[in-house]
Amino acid sequence: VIGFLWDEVLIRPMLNLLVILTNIGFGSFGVGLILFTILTRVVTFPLTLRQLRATRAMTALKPKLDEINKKYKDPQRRSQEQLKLYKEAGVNPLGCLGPMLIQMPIFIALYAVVRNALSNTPESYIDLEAQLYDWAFIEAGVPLDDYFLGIDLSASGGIPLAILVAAATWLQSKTSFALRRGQTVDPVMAQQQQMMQWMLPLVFGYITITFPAGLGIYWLATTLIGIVLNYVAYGGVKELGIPFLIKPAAEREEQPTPVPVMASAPTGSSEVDEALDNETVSRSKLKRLRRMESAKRRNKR
Amino acid sequence: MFHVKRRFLWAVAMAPFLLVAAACGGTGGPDGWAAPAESGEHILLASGSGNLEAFTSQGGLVWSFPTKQAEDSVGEDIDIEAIYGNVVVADENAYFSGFDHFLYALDTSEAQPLLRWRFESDGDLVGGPLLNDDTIVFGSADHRVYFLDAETGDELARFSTEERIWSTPAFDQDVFYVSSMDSRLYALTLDDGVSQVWDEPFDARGALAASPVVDDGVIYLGSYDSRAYAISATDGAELWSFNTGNWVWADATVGEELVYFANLDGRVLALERESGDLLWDYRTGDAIRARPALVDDILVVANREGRLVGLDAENGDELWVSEEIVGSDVLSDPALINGSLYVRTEAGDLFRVDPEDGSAERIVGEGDQ
Repeated sequence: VIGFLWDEVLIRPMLNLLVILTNIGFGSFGVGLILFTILTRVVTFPLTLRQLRATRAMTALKPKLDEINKKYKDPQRRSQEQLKLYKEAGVNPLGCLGPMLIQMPIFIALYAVVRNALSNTPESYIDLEAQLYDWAFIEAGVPLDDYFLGIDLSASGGIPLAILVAAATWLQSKTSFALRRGQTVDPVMAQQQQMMQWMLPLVFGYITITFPAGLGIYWLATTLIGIVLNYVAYGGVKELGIPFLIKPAAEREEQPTPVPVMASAPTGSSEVDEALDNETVSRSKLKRLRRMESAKRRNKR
Repeated sequence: MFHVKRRFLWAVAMAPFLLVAAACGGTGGPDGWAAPAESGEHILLASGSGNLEAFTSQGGLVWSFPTKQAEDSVGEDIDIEAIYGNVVVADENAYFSGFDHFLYALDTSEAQPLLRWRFESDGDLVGGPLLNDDTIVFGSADHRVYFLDAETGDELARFSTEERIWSTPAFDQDVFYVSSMDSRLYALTLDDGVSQVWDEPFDARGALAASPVVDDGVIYLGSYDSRAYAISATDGAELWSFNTGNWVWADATVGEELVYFANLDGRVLALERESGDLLWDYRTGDAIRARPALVDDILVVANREGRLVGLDAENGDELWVSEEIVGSDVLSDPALINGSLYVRTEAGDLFRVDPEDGSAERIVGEGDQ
């Protein structure tokens, strides 16, 4: 059943989508891969946004977490209190892992897809035919062009591509950690972030050298988009007029202690709802808005 | 949170190993599907490991290529990887294309084959060579058609298409016909260089991996667009086409009145040569890559899963079904050698099949190679 689902729900649709995108991308499988990456990023954007918000909410809880860490020396009790705090604040500590976890099966499935689509043995084309939907537009895309910018996408990625992938991964980690500096809740995590910053480039550089270059192109594209998102989310493109998804740390520090708000049913008040949607609104502002809404309702009566 | 991060790190560290695991379940290497070929008293067979081997009709191994002499003469190890195109035998010489990019010419007159020459292209060779007088013509995955001197292996000319060529050229009336994965069929002549005969190459709607078959001024050819085509050899005009329902990779088999096509749905179709009208069809249940063999009035079809079927060529009636080879993938064309039909499996085993009743006898295999 798992094999069937893996093939029919992930591999086959992904393969056919890639062939369609290749046809749209002027018959270039490399362009198809980049379009696929953009599409994947768009589809998973709500998750990415959730990740960013979860990270922000975690930052907001930092003072209280510090308090708990100071107050409770017993690890079990401390853990219980932390979980309680997360629950009260409506924060899911796993929220920041969503996009990463989603990316993994996509990445692994893409590996199978690239192998199926670009494998140059004639036998694999018979298998490929069985995977393609019976649509003329898709079948017209075969054979797929396995060269992109002089790179054979079906062959192992070379050293230059691996260096590019590793550099982009490092830059993404760097921008991510640097731009969120000060948000890390505990020193162990900070240490792990440091380690990840070097480990991830090595892992993906290794994957690029070992596996088909198409995979490296996907990772390079998704990483570059990630870097842009980091800048958009945490600052750095103010001059372009792109609104920040997350306010810069300096601005956050000026704000009063935020109150993380759990997702709740609409209150019937647009201004209060808006404030709640923003998730980190100061307690005093929330009270003031609620008072204003009550006054409006009284006046209406 | 700490545990979550640790798990994530673990997952990242495991990713390469997961990918390796996925690789194991992926596509395999090239096996080759060259048909058995007759060479004097011997049968030439592409082994599962990519060698070319000669056997007696009883299955005794006579020789295997590459030989030490061949490796010494080129100064390096030879790894052919796989042989897909059918081997051409003429005047005790054998010409074959290797997946290692080389076209090989062997002298088979001695007890051991001698490498006369080899020619390297820039791509895998999947289609076989065509020998016409003193000229060898073949296509390569580097998109080119090469014309070589059969005696010396020197390049005479080349012609570029827009995609890889996986088919074997055909020849008729001084014209070479070459189908390419760019969906075009080219008609070429070789004089002072290569020139195209038709104003425009014939353009199918899908890639052309099957080889053209010319008979009586008409070219029969199947395509990845699922259609079977009949094309005028004179000007490249489409005479008719028929939608078979799936990719056509097997070369067409031409009979007196009918032409037979097979597709990757496992369907065999008999079309009238004149009109392209469907006379009958038969479903074998699995993909057919091998060209159906016409032995007298019996059409022998081998599908991928190794099911052999004997059909009445006139009306498509099923005469027999042989499942003796089932389980061994069959993608090679069955070959008629000395009145017997030989079928090669992807593992490199060889069976002799009686086209009258489908009884099969293993000639090579079970560790013989």
